[in-house]
Amino acid sequence: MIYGIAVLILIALTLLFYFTIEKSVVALVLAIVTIIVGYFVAVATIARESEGEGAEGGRPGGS
Amino acid sequence: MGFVKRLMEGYEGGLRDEAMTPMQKIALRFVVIGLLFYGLAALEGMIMRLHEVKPLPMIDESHFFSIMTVHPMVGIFGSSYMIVFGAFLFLTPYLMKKPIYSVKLADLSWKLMAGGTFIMWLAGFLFHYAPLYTLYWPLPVDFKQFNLIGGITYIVGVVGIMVGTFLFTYNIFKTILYTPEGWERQPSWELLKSTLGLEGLLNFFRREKKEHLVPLPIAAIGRGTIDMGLNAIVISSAGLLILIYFLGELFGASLKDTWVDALLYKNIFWWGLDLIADGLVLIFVAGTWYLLAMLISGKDLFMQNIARAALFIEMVVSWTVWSHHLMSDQGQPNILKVVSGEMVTAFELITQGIAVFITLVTLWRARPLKMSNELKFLLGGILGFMLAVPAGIIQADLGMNRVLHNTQWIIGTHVHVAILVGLTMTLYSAIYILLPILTNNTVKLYSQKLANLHFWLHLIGGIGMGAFMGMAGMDGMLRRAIYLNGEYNTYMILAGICGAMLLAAFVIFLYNIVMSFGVRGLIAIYRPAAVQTNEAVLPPKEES
Repeated sequence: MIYGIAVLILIALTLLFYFTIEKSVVALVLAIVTIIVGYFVAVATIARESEGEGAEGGRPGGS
Repeated sequence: MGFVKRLMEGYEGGLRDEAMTPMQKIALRFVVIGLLFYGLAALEGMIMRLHEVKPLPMIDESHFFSIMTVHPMVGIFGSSYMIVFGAFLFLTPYLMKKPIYSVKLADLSWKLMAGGTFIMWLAGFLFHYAPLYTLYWPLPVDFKQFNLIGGITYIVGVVGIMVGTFLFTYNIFKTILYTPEGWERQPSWELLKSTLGLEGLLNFFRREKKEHLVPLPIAAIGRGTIDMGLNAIVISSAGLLILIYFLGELFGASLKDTWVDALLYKNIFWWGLDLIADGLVLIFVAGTWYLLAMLISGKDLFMQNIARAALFIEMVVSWTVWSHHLMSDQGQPNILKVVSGEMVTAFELITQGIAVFITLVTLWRARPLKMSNELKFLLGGILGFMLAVPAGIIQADLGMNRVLHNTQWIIGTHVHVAILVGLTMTLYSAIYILLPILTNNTVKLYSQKLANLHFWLHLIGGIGMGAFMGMAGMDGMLRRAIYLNGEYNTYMILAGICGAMLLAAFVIFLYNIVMSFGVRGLIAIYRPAAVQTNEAVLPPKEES
């Protein structure tokens, strides 16, 4: 859920970049860095919401 | 057994689906639809090829370019994405030895992807919407050339595909990170670090190395999925931008005097698109090669740690490589042309070379190996990338780009050889190796002779088509252009013959699969699974 919201914010932000950046390599690179960092934050929200799940002493598993 | 009976019931009884899990069925649903879209893309390719030789009377110019617009979309999203999604949604829980997070999301993903691709295709077929696949700004919103309803239909299709992609990315990461009900708590943050390669990076500076929590193919899937998510953000934002202009026009508030910098749009768009073209394909493909090499050889991967490091470097390379698409743009800053366009692109030769070397050495150390279908298609896939990647490096040179830019070389020798020979043969290898796992070993291949014929026709047809298109390009034939006077007919006829071999290879493969599964078996894939579980496969029954 939070991942979905984060992704929507990033799409809106990218849309904003189309209208606001003009002839600047630095601004272009910063926009790209923002999208990359933003997406890592979005993926990190999945780890955060997964962190509280499960209980001690359950079935062991996973790779 | 009569032909009709065998066609209906399949070879040796065909697919028996009683013990199939929902994930096995969903993976096969993705693959079957992906193969059908591949067939559609192959047909479109042949129609365009024939039109290049001699214009076909039933196809006018607008229809030709609408086919050219949807052709790569059908091929990439409808076929390659679908097959990759199906395989990875199954392999992630299978390799992590835990249930998938959500079967419903996985099921919804294939429906959205398939529906979205079909709607996008309809925009071309019904309305001849044809701003070509790169959607160069402001071409997509040129209402003098292109139908407004066609454009909206196209974007609705794109939305379906992108929503399906985001559901896939969420499901993959959630499956790696979550704790299934009744399980011991999973270390989500540690799993994330291991998936993204941060743990591997920190290991370089540690005296005591930490063990990797996720297997190598999961690391490749995770890192490729990051690029897939980033790509989906860029494509979604471009789609939204186009939609804003469409809706403005539709409701009488034209935005034609508002301004978006075309070069900036092109940079962001190509940055996003190249995350698939250069990053994701190479990361996913390298990961798939490693998995296939381990499964085929039954041995651990050679130089595992280097392979993990190379995957991390490939991810960084894929973020910084886009400018080779803008080398002939006069306004593009020289620093981007040289650093991103030439230098970073050349680095792909190293990362791809490492993947080829590791895969081949892993196989070599396990010899003698039986030349099975999965092995020969894997070798074909490696050969495809060994041809297509250097072709890409050649054209990513500022001098050579002046000669080759926008010609048939780019789309033939580089793109089609990479996708058809490199990627598709790797996917065929994965299909052959996953077939017994996905069908609980109930499906036996109808004909090995047909499988061999499929292999050779596909390999020779794919490389031949790319080579003749490349020769036409070297002689100056542009892509996205129709030549009415047969200027390049020798090359186009030869490329057409190779294209026909590719199409024949696909028909043979499809026939072999239908006869193996049986029509009843193929229909059964789309019926709900009798077993209700989120596990990838059911555990083997214990002997009493």
